[in-house]
Amino acid sequence: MKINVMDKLLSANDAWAEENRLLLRKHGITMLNIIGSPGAGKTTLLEQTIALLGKTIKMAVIEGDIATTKDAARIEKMGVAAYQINTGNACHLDAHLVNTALKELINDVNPELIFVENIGNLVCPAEFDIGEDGKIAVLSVTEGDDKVEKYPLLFSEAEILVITKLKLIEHTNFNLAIALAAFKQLNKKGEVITVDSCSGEGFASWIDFVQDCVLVHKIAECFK
Amino acid sequence: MHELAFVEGIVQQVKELKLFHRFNRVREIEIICGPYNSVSADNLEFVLSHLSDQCLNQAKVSVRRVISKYFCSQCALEFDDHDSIEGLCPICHSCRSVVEARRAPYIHKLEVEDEN
Repeated sequence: MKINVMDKLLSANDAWAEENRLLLRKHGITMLNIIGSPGAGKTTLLEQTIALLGKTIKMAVIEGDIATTKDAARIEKMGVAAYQINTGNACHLDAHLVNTALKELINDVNPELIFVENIGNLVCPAEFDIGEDGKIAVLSVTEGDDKVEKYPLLFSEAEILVITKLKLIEHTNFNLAIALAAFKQLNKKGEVITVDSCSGEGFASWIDFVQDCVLVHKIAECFK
Repeated sequence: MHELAFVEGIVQQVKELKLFHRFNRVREIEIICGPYNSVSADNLEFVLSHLSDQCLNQAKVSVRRVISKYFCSQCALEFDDHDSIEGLCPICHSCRSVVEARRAPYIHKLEVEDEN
């Protein structure tokens, strides 16, 4: 006997993601999900973002890691509240894990903007909707320009591609044109920003993007 | 690791379906997903084979990948990958098209063995 099902495999996760979205809308919070490989520069990007925007936007960070609280400690050192999720051996954050963190941060800090730094991985985090307003793909020049084509799901889904460690490009064979062409092939609407978090190069565009995300949600709130 | 979450979804859905359609065993599960999803039939079968649940642990999995849908912001046409060159709208040729659906993985069909 054959049975037609037509039901999503991750429907339980999607229900939690929807609850997260409702929670975010209720409190007027923008949530951005940062996804990239281990060592791509996700935490350093956040540190520089906090240094530049921490006084104008009330932020909080949800840190996802297999083990240790090292990243949360780095964020808290910058004066921003961080909630560390240690997944043990799971390679992604799911919407239920984020829901617990979200409730606690809303209760303690009530931020305008939450960054979720997902587990360092280009595959699994892209499969899971956590209720975010947008996925931010982070790729460093030391990883190689072929990663966009090799991991298409993340790059096709991302609102923006942030290419990091720009100052190191001359020491690598990373071809920016190849990476950009591959990204545009997969993602017609996604923006691309190149930055160097240590020197601050290219940060004006990234900061504009983050501020716009927060502003768009504030405007949307006004029309509710 | 995400295969565990996928299998959790399969187990949950099969549990619910068993209440309505009385069956002993699932023979085959057909999954449909987008071209870029990390869904592998072998991996899912491997995880299913370790379940203590006799209903699912011998199920074969097949994965069918379907193309993504685009939406043209210029003329509001919805079109598929194969209708387009690099996402250009096949009607108005605008490049202002966005990926509308990436087809999150879902169970399309189950083939089951009847209780009798």
